[in-house]
Amino acid sequence: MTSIQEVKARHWTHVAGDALAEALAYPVKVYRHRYLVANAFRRELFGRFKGSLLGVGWVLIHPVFLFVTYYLVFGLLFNMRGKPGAPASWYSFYLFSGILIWMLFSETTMRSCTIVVDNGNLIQKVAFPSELLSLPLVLVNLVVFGVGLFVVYAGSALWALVDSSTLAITWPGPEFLLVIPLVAEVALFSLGVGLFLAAAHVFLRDTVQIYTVILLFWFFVSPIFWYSDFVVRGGGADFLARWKGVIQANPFYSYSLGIRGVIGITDHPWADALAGVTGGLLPALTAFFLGCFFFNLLKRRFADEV
Amino acid sequence: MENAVEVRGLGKRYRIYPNPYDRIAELVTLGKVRRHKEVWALRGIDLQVPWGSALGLVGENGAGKSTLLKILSGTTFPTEGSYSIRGTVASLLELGAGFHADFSGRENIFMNAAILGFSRKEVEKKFREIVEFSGLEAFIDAPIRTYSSGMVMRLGFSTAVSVDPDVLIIDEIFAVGDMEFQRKCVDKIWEFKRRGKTILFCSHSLYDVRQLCEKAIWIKDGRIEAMGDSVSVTNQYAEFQKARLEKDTVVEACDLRPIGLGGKKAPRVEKAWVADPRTGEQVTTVYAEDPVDVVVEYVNQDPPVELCVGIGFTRTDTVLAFAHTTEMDGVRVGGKAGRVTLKLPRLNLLEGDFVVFVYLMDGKGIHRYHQYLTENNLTVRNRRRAAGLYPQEHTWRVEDIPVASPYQGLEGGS
Repeated sequence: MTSIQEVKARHWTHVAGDALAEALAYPVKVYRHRYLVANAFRRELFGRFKGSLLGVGWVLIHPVFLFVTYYLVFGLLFNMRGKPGAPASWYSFYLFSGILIWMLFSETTMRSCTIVVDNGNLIQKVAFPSELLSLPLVLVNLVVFGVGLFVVYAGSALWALVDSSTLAITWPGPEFLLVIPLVAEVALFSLGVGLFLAAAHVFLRDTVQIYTVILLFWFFVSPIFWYSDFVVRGGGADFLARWKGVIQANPFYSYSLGIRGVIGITDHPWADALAGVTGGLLPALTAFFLGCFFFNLLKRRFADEV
Repeated sequence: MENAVEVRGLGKRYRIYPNPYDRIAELVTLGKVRRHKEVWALRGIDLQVPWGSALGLVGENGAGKSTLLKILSGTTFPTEGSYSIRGTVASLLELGAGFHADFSGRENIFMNAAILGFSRKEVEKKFREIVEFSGLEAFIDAPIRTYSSGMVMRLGFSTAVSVDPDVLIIDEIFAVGDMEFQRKCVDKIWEFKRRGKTILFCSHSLYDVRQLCEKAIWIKDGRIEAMGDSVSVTNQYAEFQKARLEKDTVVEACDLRPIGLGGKKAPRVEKAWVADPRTGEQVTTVYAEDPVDVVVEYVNQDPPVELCVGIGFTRTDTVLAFAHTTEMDGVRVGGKAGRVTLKLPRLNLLEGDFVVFVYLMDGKGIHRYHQYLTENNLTVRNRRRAAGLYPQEHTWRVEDIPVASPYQGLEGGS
């Protein structure tokens, strides 16, 4: 029995209904096209380093140098401790872990923003599920994140050989397991935001520029660089108290708190990791669902606009 | 008969925004301010394509042919109306779309096949076949960036046709790779046709449309101008083009290939037909051994240039039976306007349907000014039983060969 494919021009209310159904069916679509996703993932991961001498090795080298630089500049040169009484390496771990989780998001969404337009040729010529284009980006950045996390622990192990008294983190504790739901949430959040941006960029090519500015602002209002103690010591206690609700509403407040709990550099690692995971769940699901819905709503018009 | 493709009242509207601010203006006023122009690329298209048939699409550039094919291949969506397709669809709209220059041919085949909807197992099964067909075995592990553009097209074509679809959508495909590979492509498409697949074929070559398709539609300004058997539709379209060219003082480059004419009309075939020299009447069916005339009336450009008239017969399965040109035979043509007749005193062809085509070329027989197909195909009747194009002079001789006994050698040794 051959399949019959029926396509109708549809009123926008029907299109909205379809988009809703398609957003809910995203996991089904991923499973059905798993071979495409796997291939696109490999292409994304290896394509980035294709022709370079060290190849995928750069995924490891980048975070190592980033980490060493942070330690040299912030740990030794500025002698930033962040928390009173914390060991010398504390701030380096604090900053690096925050940057890792932030980069998972920012790298994914920045690339995702132009993904539909970049693949315009493909979208115009071949009928295929374009909402899957962003997924490999998330997967690749998850790999980068995983390697970064490995660097954190490898770094601490090396540190222990040199000077165990200044070591900020030890081996992973039980709270480390929460890294899985936490990173899944960030991935979902990034995918949702990425899908939204990708669809918006087709119709408004300023999106990537606007988003670059937003991303910069977002980075600095999230507690990635700073620690609440900085603000208080700098005389910002009132400011912090007044805007506490707004600051904590930022999903990256939860995610950065969570990742620091996970690697055990906060006062109450287990509680903080758990708080990060629970606080980040709703934003992740909302962003994913809305992004997916928005993308599917406009998907039919991509081929005419790219 | 069951239809493979049904199209009902299909229309496609594009919105043209003069600049990006206009889109924002419409968005923030929720459509109260209208800043876009609406263009209907297609309107009111109704079509039925029966299982196993081939439909040709002809029309000028921008008439909406490609839009229709894009909608049917599922990359863009209709604004109104609907369509249904039975079975799997593959479109050869763009070969090698999505190839990554830094990856090897092998990796790109796997990726492209995944985009086309293959599973891993299916690709692994087809891989050898794809590589073999492309003839790129030696380069398959080299990055695509090192390929020539023809090689990339070959790889794209090979991957695309390996889908083995029920419905094949082709948009002007025959210019892929070298002559050898073009031949393979054409063979592949004919193989699809023989195996009873449905084909939608869009081409500017009326000749190809006539050859491949039983039915054709002519799309003009987004609507179906004519629909019917491919010979009559292509003729109507050719007539229209001719009439339009007479009106225009400037010749368009798309179909006629004028060479440095500077706004002057290119030489052109006015009319061409097959006639019976005994009655002088136009004929569509002739008997072998009969005399046949092919008459061509042409108009030269002003001032007149030397011309070459080529006339050929092609059987409807694309086999060229013969072609003669005035240049090859050393006949001079070059008046302001004139009639050239190819006289065949004894038509030596076996039974079959033939497309009679005329090329009007420059004096050296290199540049084609005009390609013309006679209005009807020519049916040749021949009572002789033989296969091929024409009967070769021949006789038979039959003899018996004495067979040696298999035991003879052994007997001799004892």
